[in-house]
Amino acid sequence: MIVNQVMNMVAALAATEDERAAALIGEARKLLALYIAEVLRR
Amino acid sequence: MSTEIQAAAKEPKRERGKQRVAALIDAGAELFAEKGYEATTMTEIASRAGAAIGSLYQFFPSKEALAEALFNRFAERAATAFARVEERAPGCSARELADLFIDHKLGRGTDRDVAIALSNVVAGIVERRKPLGDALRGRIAAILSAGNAALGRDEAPPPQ
Repeated sequence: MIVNQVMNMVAALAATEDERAAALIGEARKLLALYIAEVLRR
Repeated sequence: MSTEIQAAAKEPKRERGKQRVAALIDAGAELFAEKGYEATTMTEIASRAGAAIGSLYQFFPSKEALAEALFNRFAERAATAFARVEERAPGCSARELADLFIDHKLGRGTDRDVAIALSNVVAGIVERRKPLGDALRGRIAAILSAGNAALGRDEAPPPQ
């Protein structure tokens, strides 16, 4: 399921020390919100 | 490489025993996170917890038994944490739900990392990881299918 996969990806990102992780997590939040909105609209 | 669990952990009956077991599990979690499961010894776990080695073996006859207890605690905490997501989800917008899901996962942090690491090396845990994941996916699906999100709140056009 996409929601769980995104959650796992975010957790993996957060575990890295990459300084871009926070920005990527922010983008993941937006994309997940768009996906959830689409699912709820169906 | 996976390791078979040889003996189960002993359940403490008194409060003091429960606190000691919690301290031993905490010590195991810290050391597994720092050094990895294979490199951690029972002696180090007892030492980190400030307990005698005999006390550690009294409750956990093997490192595998302690690993399983640690995984059990992770599973219980994860279930409790997700229950809070379920409580807050009704009425949330899509964006709020996304934040709830992601913040839940971020809040699991080290606990989750250790559990995943253990599930790759302890045979008894490997088999239990998938049902836990399936259960979580089912709970996420239930939230979404409940249709409680306030549709459209995220999609309102910006003010002109």
